[in-house]
Amino acid sequence: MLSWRLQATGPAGVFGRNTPKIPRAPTLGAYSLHSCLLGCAHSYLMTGIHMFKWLTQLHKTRYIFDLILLLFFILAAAPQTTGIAVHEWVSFLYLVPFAIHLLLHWDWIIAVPKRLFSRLGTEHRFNVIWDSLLYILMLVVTLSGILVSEVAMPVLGIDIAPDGFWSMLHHQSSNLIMPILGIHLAVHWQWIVKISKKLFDRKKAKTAIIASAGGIQ
Amino acid sequence: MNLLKKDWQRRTTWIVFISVLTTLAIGLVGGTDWADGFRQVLESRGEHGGPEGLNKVPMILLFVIPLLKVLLMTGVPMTLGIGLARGWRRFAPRLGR
Repeated sequence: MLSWRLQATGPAGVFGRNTPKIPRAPTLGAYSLHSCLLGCAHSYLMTGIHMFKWLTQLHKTRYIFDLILLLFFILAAAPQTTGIAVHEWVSFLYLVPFAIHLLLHWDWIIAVPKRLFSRLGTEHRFNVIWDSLLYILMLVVTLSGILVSEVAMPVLGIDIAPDGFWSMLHHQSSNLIMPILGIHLAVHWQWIVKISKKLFDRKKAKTAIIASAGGIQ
Repeated sequence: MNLLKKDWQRRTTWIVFISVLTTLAIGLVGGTDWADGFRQVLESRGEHGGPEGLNKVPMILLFVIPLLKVLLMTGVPMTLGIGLARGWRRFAPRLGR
């Protein structure tokens, strides 16, 4: 209670009016400190607002989550580098950004059946077939991975007898998924470059804001 | 972020439902004669190679090479694909697509 009162009222409230006042900082110093703090707060606030606006934009949100998905993929695809335990848990976690990736491209997925049976350019038709292939292969890798799990599934209390067929399928499909993902990235390369350029410009703008905040002092 | 929140429960349910259904269909492959044939082939195949040769490879390479493999196996087809796509976009109109 006392500590609360101390915190709530401050030294003046406890000791009454006789409490010596804390000397004020010189005006110039106070002004420069005040303006510096204000400038920094302003720049951080503006950066935060920009970041929020930036995230609300659909294409850029997709870009961030796709980047996360790619990083997860690279981590999960090299079990000899990360170790089997990390490989299996990262692969489980990978399902979250993968589901988010599908959610973010929901409109495109919904349009797939319509697109397949309509008159489409070869490039779009190829894109639809290729993405469907990638999705099915991703499921094959996931299922076979669960069925040959050595660490994650036993930890979860599920013991699965090792099966040569699923092990072989897991290795072959995971090897096959890499070039298929490469082609998938190549098909969307123009979009990747366009958004990357926008991101780079935003970084320039942020640098300019921080530099201008530094100038207030 | 608003797009993620938009009707996400129904959409996630659909994604999970279709994924589980497709996964179960893939899982049926494991019970076919074709899979049994593969199992027999794998069992009859003797162990060859082994980890003896790996002792000669520096430890760091054992960690770096798999990562390099992922980057190359994804990056090379991607680079070739970008080149092909550029060529396609340039020459397809001339071919009267």
